[in-house]
Amino acid sequence: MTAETGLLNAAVTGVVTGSIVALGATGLALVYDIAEVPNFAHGDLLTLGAYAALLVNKPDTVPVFNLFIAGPQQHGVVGSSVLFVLSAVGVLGTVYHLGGVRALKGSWWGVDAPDSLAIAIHGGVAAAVGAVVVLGAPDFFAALLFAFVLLGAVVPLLESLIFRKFRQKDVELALMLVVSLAVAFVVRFGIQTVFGGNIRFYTIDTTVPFAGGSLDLSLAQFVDFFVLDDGLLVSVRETRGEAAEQLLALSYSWLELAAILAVTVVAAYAAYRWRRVASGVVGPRLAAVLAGVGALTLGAAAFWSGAGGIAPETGILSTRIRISPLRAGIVVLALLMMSALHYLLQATTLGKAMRATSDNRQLAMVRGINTRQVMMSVWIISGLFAAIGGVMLGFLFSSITINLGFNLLLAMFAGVILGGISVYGAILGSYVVGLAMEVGIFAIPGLSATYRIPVAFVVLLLVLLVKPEGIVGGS
Amino acid sequence: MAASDVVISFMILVSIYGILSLGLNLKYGHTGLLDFGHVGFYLIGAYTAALFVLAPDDPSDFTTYVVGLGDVPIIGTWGVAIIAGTVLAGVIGGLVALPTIRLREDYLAITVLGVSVIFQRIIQSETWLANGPDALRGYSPPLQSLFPLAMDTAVGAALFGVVVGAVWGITTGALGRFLDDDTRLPLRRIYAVATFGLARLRGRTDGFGSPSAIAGLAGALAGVVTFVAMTAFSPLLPLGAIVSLYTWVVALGAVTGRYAGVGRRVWAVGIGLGTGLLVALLPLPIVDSVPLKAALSLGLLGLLVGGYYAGVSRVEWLSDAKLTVVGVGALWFLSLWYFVLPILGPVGEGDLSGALNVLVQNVVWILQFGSEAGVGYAVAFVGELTASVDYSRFQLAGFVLFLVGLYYALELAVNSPFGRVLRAVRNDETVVQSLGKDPFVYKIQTMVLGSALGGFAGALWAMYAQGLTFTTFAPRVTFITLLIVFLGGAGNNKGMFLGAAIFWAFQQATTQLASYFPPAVRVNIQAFRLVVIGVLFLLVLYYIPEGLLGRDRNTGSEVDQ
Repeated sequence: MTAETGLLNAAVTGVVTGSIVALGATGLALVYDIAEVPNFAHGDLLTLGAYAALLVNKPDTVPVFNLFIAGPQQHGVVGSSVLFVLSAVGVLGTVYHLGGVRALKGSWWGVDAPDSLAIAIHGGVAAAVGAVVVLGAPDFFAALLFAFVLLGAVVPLLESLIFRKFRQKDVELALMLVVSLAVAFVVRFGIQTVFGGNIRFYTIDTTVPFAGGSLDLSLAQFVDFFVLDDGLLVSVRETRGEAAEQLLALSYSWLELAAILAVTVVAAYAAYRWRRVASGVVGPRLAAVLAGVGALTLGAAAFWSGAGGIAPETGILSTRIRISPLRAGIVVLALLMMSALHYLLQATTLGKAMRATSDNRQLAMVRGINTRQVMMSVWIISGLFAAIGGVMLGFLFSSITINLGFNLLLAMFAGVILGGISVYGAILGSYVVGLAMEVGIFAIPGLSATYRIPVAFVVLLLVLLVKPEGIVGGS
Repeated sequence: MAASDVVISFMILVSIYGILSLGLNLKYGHTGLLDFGHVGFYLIGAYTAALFVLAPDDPSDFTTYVVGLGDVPIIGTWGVAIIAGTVLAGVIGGLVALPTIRLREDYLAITVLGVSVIFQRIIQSETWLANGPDALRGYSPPLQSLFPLAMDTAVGAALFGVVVGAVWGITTGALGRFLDDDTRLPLRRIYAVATFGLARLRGRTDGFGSPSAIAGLAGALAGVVTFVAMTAFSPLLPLGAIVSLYTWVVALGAVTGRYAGVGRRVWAVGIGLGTGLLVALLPLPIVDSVPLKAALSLGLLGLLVGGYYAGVSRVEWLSDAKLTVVGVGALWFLSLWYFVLPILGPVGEGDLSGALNVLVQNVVWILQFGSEAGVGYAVAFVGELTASVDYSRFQLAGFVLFLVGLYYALELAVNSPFGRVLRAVRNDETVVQSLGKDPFVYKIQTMVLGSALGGFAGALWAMYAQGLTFTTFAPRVTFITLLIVFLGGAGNNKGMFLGAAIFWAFQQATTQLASYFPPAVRVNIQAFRLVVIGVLFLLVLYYIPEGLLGRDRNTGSEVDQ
């Protein structure tokens, strides 16, 4: 029997889409929640990140900058020094936003340190980042790092130059929304003024050496699931050519599956009970999920048997997932970023200050929290998320246009509103939106792919009708 | 293209966007509903009107659309099409409002934005509906085949009478508003003549005494006089000259009346600003190299803006008059551009009668010159002119009539008890509820009316553009409409005219400037244009959030004190 892509495939694609939306929505929710700015420009900040990476990866497509370079993906001396300076300025600018010149002297560190030491360390880090970018160019990670530091320095400028001035005038939320819309236009068409209207794309080598041969990360594989009389068979195949070359096959009997399931449930429950008493970074629910996933993976690996099976003749059910290591990597990357943010919010002083400011800014100021520094940190983090989101988006869709980020903006806002305007709500909402988009297109016959955003919006509308504060929101 | 043709298309666009902005002003300015999806109703009005007047779909050609009612006797006409577009947009506005109105203001804005994007996507992907991603063409605006007017027929004379009547009526109505202002022109006497003596009705206290009624009657009389004159001895050029000169005199009176109390220093600075702007833009047609001319112009513009800013922040009397100076400068620049620039070419060659010819063509804006189907004249000192009345003048007359009519209807609504409840809803809903009225119902009504206005503007756009593409109806249009609302003054209907005029003047000016650059950088120039607009929007939001005309004194004071 042959396996066809079905609901499970749509769900997996939905998780991938949800991860991309989550990368953007997290930054949006942070700023929405703590700085109280519905940042319409966030989509265009993603676009900015994608275009910034072009300076490292495809410098010949960047107007004005391409006068300084030596070849299609080579920077030459002048181009490299420009990149170095920009990266260093990016790092120093990001630190500067945390408190001005005093921050460069180490005021944002938790510990007391002599001024010269702090300046030296900041300068050293800036130079190191510059060197990494220049030496690593035109590789993907150098481009990502460059976009990272550049946006970390540029995005908080929006706050210090524009939004803060309006907040000081105590304008209403609707007007802030209009202001951010104007900023979005300035950013988007500013990018277009410099870069023009051509479609660009990254040139990245996606093959890595793997198990003796080379593996192209961007090519999709089929993962077929066959439910047979005696158990489950998982088969991973290449999609190139007609001869589907099988890479890996795993088969499990019903007994093994039952054992794995039992161990998973026990591990999850045990972890839940264990962390019930002491929350902190890893709370009970998170512990249960982590333990369950860990037990599942261990069990699947332990009971792995049967390499090199062939497609079975008859079976009860079969389904297929089409996924590439790149897309799986995006999900992993999103989870990593969100874990880092979770750690920041729960375990660090800055995170505590952020949560306090989001709850009640006046009270946080009374308690001595430097809300201005908290605001700037929030914007910096939002910019960092936007940089990663933008570069990933440009990489994934192989075409970088002006509307790259704006197309995602509506999905991001849908995710943020759906989940209630908080970081965790936004993450949850993004995945709901991602799943809704893909499963909706799959489930409703006759709906073409251009309707993905409308489906997300219909879901948003339905949720808002029932619960106007969003799924998680309301306080 | 003669300068007058540019101004005609400018005024047509101002009318369309003025109506669109009146709709958004009703939603946001009067009721406080921030609708980021206003362009969705513009889209509905445009496509509905187009589908009503298109001939039935021919399956063998390359365009497909769901229904073409153009051949149906009464329904397939523009009158019904516009009404259908308006009504459908209003109904859909109400339907969209029903689930979303109770949301918080930012949720409402984003949700309705999503709805408008949904509409746009539907048009884009459902090729059976309105030709999908390709342009929907194949219909023509009403009566277009009759233009340029054949002056020897009764129909031609009648239509010219309609155009003259509309222009005369609107100009007289405007004149009636500032009769008593301090200008050096004998306005009262001009008014008496222009209204054919009806001016003495002003004393009456009933309906006939209002300036609008008199203007309407005067316009109708002017139209009849034109019709009679045209059928009798067809004095196209003299009539056109009289009407055009009348409008120029009234415009001059309005400007001098508005800036009557302004001191000579302010005038001087304003004129200096206007001339400075002209000088700053001089490198564009003159210098050849693209980076050089861009750098020169940007540098000179930067100097100008820097000088203005320095002057306004240091000099006391200048800072009090900062907006007046800009206004004077802009008007001076426009006058230079309209009257002086076109004649520079012939004057430079020493062809004085050619220069005079161009000047006359620009002054007599109500007629189009230079087409072969025109009536030929040979005028002393000026040379030969072929005058005709082309379709755009007729369209302009119609659109401006619609705009003025809708403005009056809206003013009536806004000054009525209904309008007062709307303003109360904008300021504080609990007060409205405590008075026993349901704010929800009023908000729905506002959404219906505002969206209907947007649909009307869309139908007019369909008429003007003669072809619809889904990319026109992007959220960018809502952004521009918001800019116009804030520029003119949220809650102030008159401000919509000013805002739309400023925006489209900027657009037309920069389109002309963009033509001095090679096509390869056109996209960049257009993008830069929008960046400038975005920055100006931010400046307006920060420094003058109540707009250039502010809250309307009649409607704002009772609530805002």
